[in-house]
Amino acid sequence: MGEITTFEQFLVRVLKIVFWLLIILPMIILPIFYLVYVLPVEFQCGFNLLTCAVKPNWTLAIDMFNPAEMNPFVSSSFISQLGLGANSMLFKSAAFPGLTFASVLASFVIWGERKILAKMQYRVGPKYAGRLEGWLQSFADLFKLLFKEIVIPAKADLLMFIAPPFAMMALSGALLATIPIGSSTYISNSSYSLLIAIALLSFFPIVTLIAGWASNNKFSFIGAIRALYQMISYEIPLILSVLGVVILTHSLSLSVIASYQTKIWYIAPMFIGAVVFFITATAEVERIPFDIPEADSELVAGWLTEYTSMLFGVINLAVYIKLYALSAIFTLLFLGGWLGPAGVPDFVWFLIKTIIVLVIFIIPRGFFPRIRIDQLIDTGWLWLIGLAFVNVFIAFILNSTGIL
Amino acid sequence: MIDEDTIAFVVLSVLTIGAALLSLETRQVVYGAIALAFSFLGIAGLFILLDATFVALFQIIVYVGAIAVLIIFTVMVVTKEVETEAKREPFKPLAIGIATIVALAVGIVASLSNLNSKYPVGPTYAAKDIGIQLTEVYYIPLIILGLILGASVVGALTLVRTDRN
Repeated sequence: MGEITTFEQFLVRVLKIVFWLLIILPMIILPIFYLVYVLPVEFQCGFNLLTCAVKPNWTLAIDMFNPAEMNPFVSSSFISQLGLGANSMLFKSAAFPGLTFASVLASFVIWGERKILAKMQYRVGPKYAGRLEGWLQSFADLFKLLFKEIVIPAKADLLMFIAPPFAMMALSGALLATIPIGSSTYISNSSYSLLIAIALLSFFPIVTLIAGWASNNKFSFIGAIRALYQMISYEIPLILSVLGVVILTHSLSLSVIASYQTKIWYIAPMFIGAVVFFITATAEVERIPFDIPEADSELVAGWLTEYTSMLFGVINLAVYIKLYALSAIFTLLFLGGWLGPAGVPDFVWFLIKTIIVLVIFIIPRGFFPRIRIDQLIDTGWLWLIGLAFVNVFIAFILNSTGIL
Repeated sequence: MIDEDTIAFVVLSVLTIGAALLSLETRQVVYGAIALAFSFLGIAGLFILLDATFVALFQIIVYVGAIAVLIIFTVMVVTKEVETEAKREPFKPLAIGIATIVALAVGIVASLSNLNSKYPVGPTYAAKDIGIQLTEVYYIPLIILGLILGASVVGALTLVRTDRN
């Protein structure tokens, strides 16, 4: 900015400062407000957080602690009316098992991926952002993306070009709602959560196709068609591989499925199903060796070619949240979910298992080449569907003979 | 009278019918195909209102996840620049008016008269009940469906095998 000579420039400068303050202040003040006022009052309620925070019950709240000790500005009923308690739906879906948690985890997954791949290939990887091995690299990338210009191609279909990133983010966020990360830590505990997750996964091809078409770019459209082939043909083995576990547990609820595995994790009897699920999940999130839709050496960036700045960032974040959701579903279906030795909160076990699965998702990128599209279709329709049927038969035999 | 279910029903009906109308009336064919997907989605919401969550989820998986994708894909591949020209339709306002009046009349008569279903509001069926019914009562249709599905899977496998060689 140059010198201020006229009153208009002065006004513009002031308005800009006010604008940035309005953007930055909530990011600083709201967390401080939450830490100082909301959380202590929450913990005064004892462990009966649910009745205290979700359902404002005056008698209960008054019985539990002395109102005189409370902060005069913030009473617990005020907080619960705002819907800000640690067990309220807003907190659960926006913060802890929900979107913020998954986004932060996803950003660390991106950093970990770059670091692991670098170590595998005798490189250093991200180094300078953050003292410890460049652990702040994804946040640096985030700010870089935030300050870049959003370029929209002249002949792109504006509405259909802008909508897909946000649709993908919404779908990934909705996918998180189906995942229980602990026996009592969940956003929603539907008895159809597995089916809901599959239904949400079936939305992604449509969004991808629209994104590739609206970019009005040959690379984008070819990438979108490839993504469509891949997602449609790999959705069938994905559903079939899950079927075995459903036959064994007689349930479509992810939390019930996880809690059935006290005797044995289902990866032992359902090993074929686990392998098929793993491969199809790799294909669903378009990771190497199934990165045919993005194929950076042939198609620039596939269906993402025309996306710039934060639109690209949002899509990338959504894809990594989807990766987290799929590995969480793998953990719940085959690795016993949150089951583990007592002593620590159960979601810690869940997170340890999920992160191990995430690392196993990441590692193949270091040593696999990309497979061709015809090999992909053959693998999907011939081997994976066949193996998934074998898995279903194994589950059927185990179930009907009463072994499991 | 106006409770949450009624509001949800009205919103979902408007979404379903509006998207269906849009898919017929829009000049951009691709928008029409996408509107069709939204119409399917509205139908899934109506199923959820009827306490048939299982059917609603399969409505989404099959119609939005497969059929709408195929339609959109076909439309995108076939017509990129073609925009249908506006035809002269002199009787269109008249037709819309008559259709609206008839629909309103039927709706008013239906809501005023004491029309009830032959069966009272029945129990809602969970997925497990549907499975039990399928395997214990309706097992012959289930076996036939299974055979058809098996035949289609074998057909798909054969196609892939022949393509490979």
